[in-house]
Amino acid sequence: MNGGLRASMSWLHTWTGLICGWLVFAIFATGTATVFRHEIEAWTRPSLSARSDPAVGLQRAYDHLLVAAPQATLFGVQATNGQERDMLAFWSNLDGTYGQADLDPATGAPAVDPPTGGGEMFYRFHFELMAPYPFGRLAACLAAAFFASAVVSGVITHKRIFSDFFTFRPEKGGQRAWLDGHNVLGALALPFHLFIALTGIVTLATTFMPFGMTGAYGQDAAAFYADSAPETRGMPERAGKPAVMAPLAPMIATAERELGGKVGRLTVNNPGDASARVSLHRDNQGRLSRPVSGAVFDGVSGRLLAVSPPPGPAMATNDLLYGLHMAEFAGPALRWLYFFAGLSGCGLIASGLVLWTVSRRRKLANPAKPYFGFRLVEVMNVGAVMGLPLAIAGFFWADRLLPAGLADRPAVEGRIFLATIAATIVYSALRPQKRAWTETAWLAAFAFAAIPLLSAATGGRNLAASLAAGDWAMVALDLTLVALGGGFLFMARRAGRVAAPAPRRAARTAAAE
Amino acid sequence: MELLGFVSAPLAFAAFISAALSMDRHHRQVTGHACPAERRARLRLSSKALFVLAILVGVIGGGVGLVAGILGAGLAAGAVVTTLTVRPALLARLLAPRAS
Repeated sequence: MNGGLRASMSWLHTWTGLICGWLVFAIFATGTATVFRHEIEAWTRPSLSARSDPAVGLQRAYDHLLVAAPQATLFGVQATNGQERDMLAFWSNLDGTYGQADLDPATGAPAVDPPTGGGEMFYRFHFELMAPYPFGRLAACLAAAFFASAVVSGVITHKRIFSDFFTFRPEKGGQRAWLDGHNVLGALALPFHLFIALTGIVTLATTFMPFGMTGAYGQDAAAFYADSAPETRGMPERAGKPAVMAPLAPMIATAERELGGKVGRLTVNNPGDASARVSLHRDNQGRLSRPVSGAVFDGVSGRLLAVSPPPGPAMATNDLLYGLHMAEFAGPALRWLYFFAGLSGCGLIASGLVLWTVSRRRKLANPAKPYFGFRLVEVMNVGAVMGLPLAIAGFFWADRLLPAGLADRPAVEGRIFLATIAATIVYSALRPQKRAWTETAWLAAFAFAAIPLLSAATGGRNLAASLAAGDWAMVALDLTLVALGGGFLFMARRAGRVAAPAPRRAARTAAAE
Repeated sequence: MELLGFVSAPLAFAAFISAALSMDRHHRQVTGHACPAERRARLRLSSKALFVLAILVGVIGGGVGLVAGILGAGLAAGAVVTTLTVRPALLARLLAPRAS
């Protein structure tokens, strides 16, 4: 039974890993970049300063939007914090139109940098894959479920997981070295891989498993979301009587006292109207769970009207799992650990994909002319494993090189991101396998290492200036890009040295016959 | 509280080293010979004690401390694998007989 179970788990591990591996790699790679999405956002907006008082920034944004969006029926602003330097604002107008802008906390007005997808692009790709709603989210959910099953089946498959825990024999080369590397990468961050896959499914639970919601609320999604944030229930209709809004600072002070933490988000319903309501929500830094906790004020008198009640057990569980995935609680050091664990996940998936071809190449009758399926996997492996990093580097290049006044600039950045992956797949199909790995690794090494130079040369963030200003987040980002370039340089040199394995004698004999 | 999670990482590192050296394969990597029975028993005991200590420190750190501890332990295990692969001689000093 035990042998049978291991064999079936091995089959499951191999095929779920292969079928979803490329997609999971894309999700993992962009998820790893998302750990520093606020820093990437700041990198793409060099006009934003490192230091700003969140409450002062919110007040400025509040004052700006009351004047700049007089027809708004609702507007919201995300406050700055230790990571975020811009304030994402949105509003909806009386005529049903919507608007969105990144505000500079120093002025409250839109940031002067060219429009960009910023770190938000990686974040959205991570779970939407740039596909129409809900298909991208469903695909991301399915990929997470497949990844979780591949992790569990991989653990069951491994006979001696504890004795092999520290075993890595790169000197043995070939399949043995790849298998050791795959096992070690899998074992090192095993708890991370499991919880990130399972909590990832939870973050999209309402898309993937909407049955609880539809069972209780039918098609009335608005009622579900109202119950999720009960303090916002009973928002009055617009009175149509203009009124002067109360100052924000006392409301922020009251909200921070009531909510036990810093305010991270502001929403105003019916601004400039006698029926105005101001909602202030807590940010999630320093707490593992991610509950919706907010306070609602009368926008004209500034009087506190309601505070979020504690969530029920189901919601509290959801908030905890959601928070664990989003890592908004994490300080800089812990975010670095998330980043390294994410990199180990990328390495795990990449080594598994390569292992599939390495273990089968020796069995090929004619390795120079493999069958179509084998060649397809080889091409897609290079396309995914090298295409994603190249696309990430390509995004940074596009951000610096695209004209500032280009129409729909963030969407063009996104198209360049996707086009880079497609180009890598095509390139891989046209080149011999070993050369495709080596050449794309060289290109990735150059593309990453040159980003800080390109940025400095085109008026973007400048490593020397960041050092002089003590802007350590930007220094770390630039150095990380250079280090990634170094990593790909190492990979290119290693890939260039690896000799193609000789086919098995039996296979050679079979071919001769 | 996050800090306590990071304190548990060196403890996990020490626990992993003890666990690795108690295995013949890794003991041989470091010293050239299999692990003697008495040393294996001591290494296993210290490994378990250090693990318990690492987990306790992480738990005291609360939820965030525990997450930091788990991820830090992964990094510590990676450091042990790297040391065993690249510079096993560094670990030989730990097993060298102490001068009286």
